[in-house]
Amino acid sequence: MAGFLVKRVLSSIATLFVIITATFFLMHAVPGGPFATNEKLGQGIIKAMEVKYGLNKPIIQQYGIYLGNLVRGDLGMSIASKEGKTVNYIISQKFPVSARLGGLAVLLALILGLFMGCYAALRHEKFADRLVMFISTLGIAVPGFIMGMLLLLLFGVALRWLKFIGLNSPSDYILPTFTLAFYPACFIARLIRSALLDVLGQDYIRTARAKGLPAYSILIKHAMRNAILPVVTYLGPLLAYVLVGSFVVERIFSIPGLGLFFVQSITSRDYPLIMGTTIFLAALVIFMNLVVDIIYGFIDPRIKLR
Amino acid sequence: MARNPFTLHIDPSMFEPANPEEKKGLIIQRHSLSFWKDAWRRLKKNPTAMVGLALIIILLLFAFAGPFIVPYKYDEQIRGFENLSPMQTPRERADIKEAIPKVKNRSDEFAYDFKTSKSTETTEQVTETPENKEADFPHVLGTDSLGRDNLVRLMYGSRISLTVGIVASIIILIIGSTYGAFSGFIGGRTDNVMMRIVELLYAIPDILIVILLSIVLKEPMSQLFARSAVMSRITGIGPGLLSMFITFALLYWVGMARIVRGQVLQLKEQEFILAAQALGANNNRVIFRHLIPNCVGPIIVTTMFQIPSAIFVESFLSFIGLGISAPMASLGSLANDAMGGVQTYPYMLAEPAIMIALIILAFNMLGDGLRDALDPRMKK
Repeated sequence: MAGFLVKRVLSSIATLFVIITATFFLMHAVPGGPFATNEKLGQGIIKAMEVKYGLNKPIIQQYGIYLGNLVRGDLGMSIASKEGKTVNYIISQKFPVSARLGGLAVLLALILGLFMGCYAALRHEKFADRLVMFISTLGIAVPGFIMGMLLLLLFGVALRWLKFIGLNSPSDYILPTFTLAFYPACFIARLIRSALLDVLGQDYIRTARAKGLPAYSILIKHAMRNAILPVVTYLGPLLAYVLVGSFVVERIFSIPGLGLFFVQSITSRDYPLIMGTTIFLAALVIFMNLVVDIIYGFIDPRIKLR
Repeated sequence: MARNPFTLHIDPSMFEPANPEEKKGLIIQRHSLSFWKDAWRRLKKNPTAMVGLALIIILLLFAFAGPFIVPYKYDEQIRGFENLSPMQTPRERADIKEAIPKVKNRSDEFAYDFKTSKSTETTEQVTETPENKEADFPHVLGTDSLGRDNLVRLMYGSRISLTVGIVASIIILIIGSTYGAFSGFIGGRTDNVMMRIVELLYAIPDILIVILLSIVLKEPMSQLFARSAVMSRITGIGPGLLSMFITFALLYWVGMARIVRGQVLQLKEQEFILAAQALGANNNRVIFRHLIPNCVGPIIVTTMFQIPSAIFVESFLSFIGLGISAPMASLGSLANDAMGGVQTYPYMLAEPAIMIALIILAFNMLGDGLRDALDPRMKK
């Protein structure tokens, strides 16, 4: 167990390191640099700016400085923001908005997915099962942001039931959350359905039934325990999905979160901000994957962690 | 004749030659089916897959043959015909526009002079612009905010998306299967190192790197295109598209590499490989002539699922403002352009959105069918 932990943590750090290095050199490989596009600036000002942001030093030295700052948790200054905000400050301002939305979406996906999956498995080969399978096939095939647009068109524009700009009232959360949650919910429903069908055919379920236990107790205490395992493995990819989804969902519904800001920082070529956000998000995904892997070992004692 | 129980005495008189009809009966009735025929037979029985295939053919026709039918061009801006609603012909619109200034003059009696003069100016342009052939051809899906025909732009967008999907999948196919086959075939320490690299790439949140790459590559690519006219003429694709292909080539082959490696590990222990080696085939020949052709089923299935995911990534990038640049259209950038006026012109968003959904759905349907037909073991 300890060996597994060490190995897993080390490989996570290695991945993160590769991402940091790749991000750094990719960003510096862009010809021109952040000030070249602004033609109003004179040569002298550009020089001074480069000195200020340390861009005049050799690239290896810059890399070293960046790594050093990173270890101390400093992601540098944003270039495009006029008030000279730090990247850390911007992330701390924008991330909670995204995290709240993402958290709600994960929750909704789990509830909806579990419910749909269970229902389909219990009504196997019946109409409800077919319906759930049809919906989930559709949900997996249609990309999330297309779903978001279609939902916006239907409920926002055509029916005018919900507003779709910003997050000002609780009802504003409905469309973006549902958009983010729909694909993972469908995926979870399929996972749960096939796992439950597998589990429900096993002997210990028959034993439980023979003992005369009520159906819900068999489902929840006996069957779900085993059927839920694939869902736990899916939690890592789910988080990554919600993260990427936030880029477009925040763009579609004009939500002032980190995703929208990241996309905007790309167009304004704010390199420290792009790098900082990328590294922050990558670290988040890698960390969550690590956590899920470790949790998995605790939930299923049959799995030997190596 | 005494029968010796220990020898095999056969009395020839007991036998007679078979007549041709009897011979025919002995030949096995069913012709042996080749791998492809068998797969096609199984695919034909799958209605979902056939619907998907039909959809793909229709979509390909729409994207590649469609622009020859519609008399507008994708970058042709017809002034005075901005934001037409679907099915309006330019002539109808001209009639309406002619009527508008009169109404305006009446309602804005105390409006400034330049306003009225401006509106009459536009009417003049309007009556000039439509030529005869165009005046009768309706803008089936309306026009966008710059007066470009939405239908043609949708066709070009689908063309870009389909091209990206197919070309990217071919790139992935080539790199991934070669990498995977070599890794699995050589084995040992090489395999270990090569698979570590794959694992590392697998763990990287790909969209983030894709976004970074498309920013980084865009500039040098456009310079490359600006410098050499030959380059842009040969490829006929924009810098955005090329940088997207490079991105796919760098990042997305890992899944394919894993699958091919797994297959090769199984196959390389089999006798026909040993036979080939005994006959003096070198490693390259064994890999490209024997191993890869034998895992063609999983390779095709993976490629088939790669197409929709590549299309998704492309439209995703174009939607957030990277990827294809104007005046060329991609489905993602069309959706992006339509986001601004979604309250007033919702159909402009609906058109590319439905198109992307259709394309991805069609490829997924066919992919599912192909998986069942080509590789029954992969069926869940």
